[in-house]
Amino acid sequence: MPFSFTRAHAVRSGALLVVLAVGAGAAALLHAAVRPPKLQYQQFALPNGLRVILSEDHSTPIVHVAVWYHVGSKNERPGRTGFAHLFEHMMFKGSKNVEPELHTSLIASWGGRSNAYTTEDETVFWETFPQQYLPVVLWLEADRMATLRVEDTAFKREREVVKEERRMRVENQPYGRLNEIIYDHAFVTHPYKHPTIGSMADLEAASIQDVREFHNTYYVPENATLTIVGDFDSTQAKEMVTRYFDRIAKAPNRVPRDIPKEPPQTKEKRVVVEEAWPLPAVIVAYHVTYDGHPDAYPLHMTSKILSDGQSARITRELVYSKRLALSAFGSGNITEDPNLFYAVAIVQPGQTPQAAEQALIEEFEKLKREPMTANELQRAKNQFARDYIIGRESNQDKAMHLAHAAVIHNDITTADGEFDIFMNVSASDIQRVARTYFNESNRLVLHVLPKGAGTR
Amino acid sequence: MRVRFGAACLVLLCVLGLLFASVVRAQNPFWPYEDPPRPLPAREVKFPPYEVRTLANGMQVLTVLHHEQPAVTMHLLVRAGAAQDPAKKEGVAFLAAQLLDQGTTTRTANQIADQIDSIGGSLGVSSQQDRTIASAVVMKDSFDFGMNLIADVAHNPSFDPGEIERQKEQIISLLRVNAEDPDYIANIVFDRLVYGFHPYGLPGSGTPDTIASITRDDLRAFHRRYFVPNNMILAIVGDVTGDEAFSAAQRVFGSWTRAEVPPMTVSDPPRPTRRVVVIDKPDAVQTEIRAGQLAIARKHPDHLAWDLAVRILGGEGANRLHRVLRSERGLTYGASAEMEARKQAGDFVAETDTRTETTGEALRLMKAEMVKLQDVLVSPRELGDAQAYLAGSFPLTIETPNDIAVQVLNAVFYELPLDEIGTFHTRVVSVTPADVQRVARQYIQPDNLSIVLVGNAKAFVSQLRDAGFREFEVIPLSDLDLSSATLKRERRGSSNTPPVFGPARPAQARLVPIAFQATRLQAQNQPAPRPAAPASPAGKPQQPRPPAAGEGAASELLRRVIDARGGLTALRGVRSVVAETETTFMDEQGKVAATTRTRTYVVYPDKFRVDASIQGDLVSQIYNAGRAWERSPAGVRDLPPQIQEDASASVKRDTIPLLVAAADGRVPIRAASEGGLRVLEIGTAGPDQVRLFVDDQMLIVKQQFNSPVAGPRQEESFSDYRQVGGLRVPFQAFVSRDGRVIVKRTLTKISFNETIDPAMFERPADTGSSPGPANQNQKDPPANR
Repeated sequence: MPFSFTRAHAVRSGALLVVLAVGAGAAALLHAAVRPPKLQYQQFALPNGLRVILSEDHSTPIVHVAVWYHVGSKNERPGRTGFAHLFEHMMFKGSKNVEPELHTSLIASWGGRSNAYTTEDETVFWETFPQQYLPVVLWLEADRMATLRVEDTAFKREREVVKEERRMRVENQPYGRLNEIIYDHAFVTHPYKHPTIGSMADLEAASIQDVREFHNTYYVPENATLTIVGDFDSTQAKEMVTRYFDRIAKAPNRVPRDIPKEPPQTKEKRVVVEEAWPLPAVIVAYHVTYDGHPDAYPLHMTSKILSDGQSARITRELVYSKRLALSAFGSGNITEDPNLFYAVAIVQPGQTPQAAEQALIEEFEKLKREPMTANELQRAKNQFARDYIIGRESNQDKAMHLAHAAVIHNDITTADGEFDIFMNVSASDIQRVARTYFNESNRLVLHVLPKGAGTR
Repeated sequence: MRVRFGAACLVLLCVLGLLFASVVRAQNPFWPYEDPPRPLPAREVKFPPYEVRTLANGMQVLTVLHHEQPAVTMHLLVRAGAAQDPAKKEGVAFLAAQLLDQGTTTRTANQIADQIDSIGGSLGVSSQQDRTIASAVVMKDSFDFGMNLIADVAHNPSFDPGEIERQKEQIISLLRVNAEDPDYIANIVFDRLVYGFHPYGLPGSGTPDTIASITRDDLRAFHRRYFVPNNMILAIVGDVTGDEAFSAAQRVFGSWTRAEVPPMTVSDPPRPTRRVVVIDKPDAVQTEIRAGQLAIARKHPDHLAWDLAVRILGGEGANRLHRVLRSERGLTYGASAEMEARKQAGDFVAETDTRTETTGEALRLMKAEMVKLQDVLVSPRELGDAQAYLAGSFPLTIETPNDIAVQVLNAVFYELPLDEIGTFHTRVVSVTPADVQRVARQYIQPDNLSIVLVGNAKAFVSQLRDAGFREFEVIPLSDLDLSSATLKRERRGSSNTPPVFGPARPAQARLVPIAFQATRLQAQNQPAPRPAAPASPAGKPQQPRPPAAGEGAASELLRRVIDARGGLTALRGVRSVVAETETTFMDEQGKVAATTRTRTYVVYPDKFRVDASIQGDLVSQIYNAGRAWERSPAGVRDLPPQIQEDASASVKRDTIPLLVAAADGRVPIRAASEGGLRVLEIGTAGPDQVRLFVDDQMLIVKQQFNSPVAGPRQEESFSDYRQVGGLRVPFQAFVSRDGRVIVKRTLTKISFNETIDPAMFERPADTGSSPGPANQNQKDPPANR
């Protein structure tokens, strides 16, 4: 790296010389000059347990509403994988006062947008619309939380739709099964082992009785967080939320949280499989900790150092300098339960998976061996500050950060508070965390070879 | 990286006007029956302020100011893209865009990456049919830096040969990945059917062959022609003042002088003709379907009515296809129709993917919906919903400063009256059901549709007949060739005919396989932005196949290796070579022991000379017809016999005469495979045999040989092939011994057939040939390409 340009340099010419002259000691001079503004919000709960977050922003006359249910594919039972997501589809099939598909078409007829998504940890329903429709949207969300319609024909048809979704996303495109293969080999017990979309067999086995039970168990007020961001008056909104949601009864039972724990991995796993993909893929994965754990912050920082931007280590080494990989990255998938930090390289023709594996492992070893320079650390922090700033432009972005903090961290203040934690991560934190997790006994090395290559 | 899956995305019409249910089916008996609440009063929405000015040199500058977040975004749009690619050079605009941030006259690619990443900014490029865009995001305190950088990458790209090769390699590999993606294949074949040989029908990111053929001069010419200020629009968006923005634009772009932009001369796209093409991909579990045809360009006065018609068929705010195929029948995860209205022409396409067994039914339903749009007047309610969506979504389209800027940028780019942004609502609601029917009848010809189906042909073609499509062509994926009128690769004829199948859809900046992008996107069943390019690798086979042993396979392999290198005639034509290299010698520990610059002269068949500067002294090693000696300040001395022998062997394994000898049948050849690579073995098994390892592009990536000095199975690997005088030459070579790299050689300059003074290979009169120990560093046989 012949020349490192720092934020400080952009602000005050001459700062670069200081950095070069005093090395790591100058880190304090390199603090990010620009801070993201804090989110303004208020939070309250209804007696039935529904958590509500309000954040006013009057710059455009639109509102975003998000309902987070704290249930995802990790809550699924064996034999019913893919169910949380299949159920998400059923939430558009009507409720007591709303015809099937009307939820979506009504919002569209105002020029609004709506959709939903399911992850391992949560299921989120959202709408963005012109501000005057806020009462209608709250009414629609309350209606389906309280009274889902469950019809056999609609259920069976939707199951076919989800099977098509699986074919389209996973089975019919090169590398579509990559995540599925990684997680199946990395996990033994914890439900992160199976993909959110589930297996075809389990989708086929799902019954209408499962739909009813799932709704009764998880789609209850105390398992939900309602976030409203945009152009509204908080007093008025509070009144509307109370009117439509307060009448939903408190659930009789607590939401189950009995998710099987993953036993610690004690020795390296090495796996070679074949797929009909055009180029080989190499994966190096390590088990890491959960979102919110103090080690999670240095791990996030490590993702930046390895993969954010063309100057990041893995990109530069494997893609640019050594030309081993068409594409390569390494990042932590840090979620509610302990998950993986993994690196992937799609191997260039003429290069070997072995070489790519070595190069990826070397990047992890380097993190353990040498602390990063002050410049490199500052670069990662500046990238974090950028993500904070440009990741909070829209109402939807803001709602996502607030709800994630409230639901996954159970502490809404982390939506802003994490900024300082990130800015205070040190090079030795990153080295320590690398030494904690990036070890051979904790590693999965997976080679996915084009069909036929492994048997030659 | 969270995996997300979305449910209903596209939108349905209100079912039969039955807005709210009257039937009890829910399980909560205590929940009241009720109508939805009334909305609150609406608020007036105005398009936020923006300003457009034109600099003296003709560059248009647009500002949208916004002060909530302390960031600034810049977009520099150049009015040229893949449509401006020279004939037979598809991919020039795309490759040029990819190279913008890969080095300027004052910054290397690495410096650019270090600089933008260090300040926590980001920089990206993208290339589309009609335009090329460079974008940067910086924090407000780095605004000046961001402006300097974007001006530098637009004005002064270096098109460095090494970076060109690197990007070509990336693109070619990505073409290969995309060539296995049914969605991608369906899109490019559809564009080819609709636009024929108009540039919109040709692959914007090229094919392996066109990409390989692009030279630095092609890139520089493209840049010189189109990257001129009067052909550009700059948008500055975010947390700056208007004065700061315009004065910065003047500062970094003001001195760039205006120049004439050559006009485009292209043929018109063909008139719609019925054609059903099935691309056979036997391992597919779904069929990708596209059906549509040529329609109208962006500036056409029917644009808005046509937009509404296509939305009713399958767009946001309406979508009959979604209702019929997904909600009513569960045939697909997504069905939609889109119009693409570009600068010179436009099209519409209805698309879906469905399981193999329901292919025929899905296609039949899609066509039926098109017919219905023409036959039955759309109801005021259905049109009203579509209009309400389009008009009502207006406040959603101005949420972020970037959203605002994109709208103005598009209006300026397509040369639309800027006040159209303000009158949008009125124009939308004035479209009538009769207008929709008129444009549907005018622009849809259901009997002349271009239809593409990508999937397991054998399993569904019988369904096509049942669905009313009696005539269709089935083309195996491996035979697809967009450059052929038949779309099929000609089996006879020039071996160099490439399958020109590449993308015509907008190319995206970074080269990342599609699957990675998809998992990061929020689930939406509208097509995700696609990365660039695809296509099969050079030559027909899509996958590396182990060649069958035997003479036929070997000569075929030899022929293709020679073609990849530049062809037999070109190889035969090489009589001499002059090359300059940087050579690094490694010690036992893999550390650099010495680095030297060398100049090598080769005169075929049996002379070469290497001049090197070793610790300040000029040392020459010369080989001439079996004899090798060294000349240094210490005098002239013969090299030890082993070295002489090694030099002699190195002449024999020089790949140029070696390939020519094999082609002339002077040495036996055999094909094999090892470690996933094809191997061409030249010479009978034994000490003289040389094994050439060949990659999918038929380039020699490794040579294995037996060294008289070092022993059997020594290796030299080659990479960084570049075009020089009609030949492809590896600019990088590594010599390994026992698995350890001992020499790295980088070519810095090479030329062929220069006149070389024969005296350079004459041994001077003996001046003491005391055979002292040869320099450790020079044990290696010199000179090889």
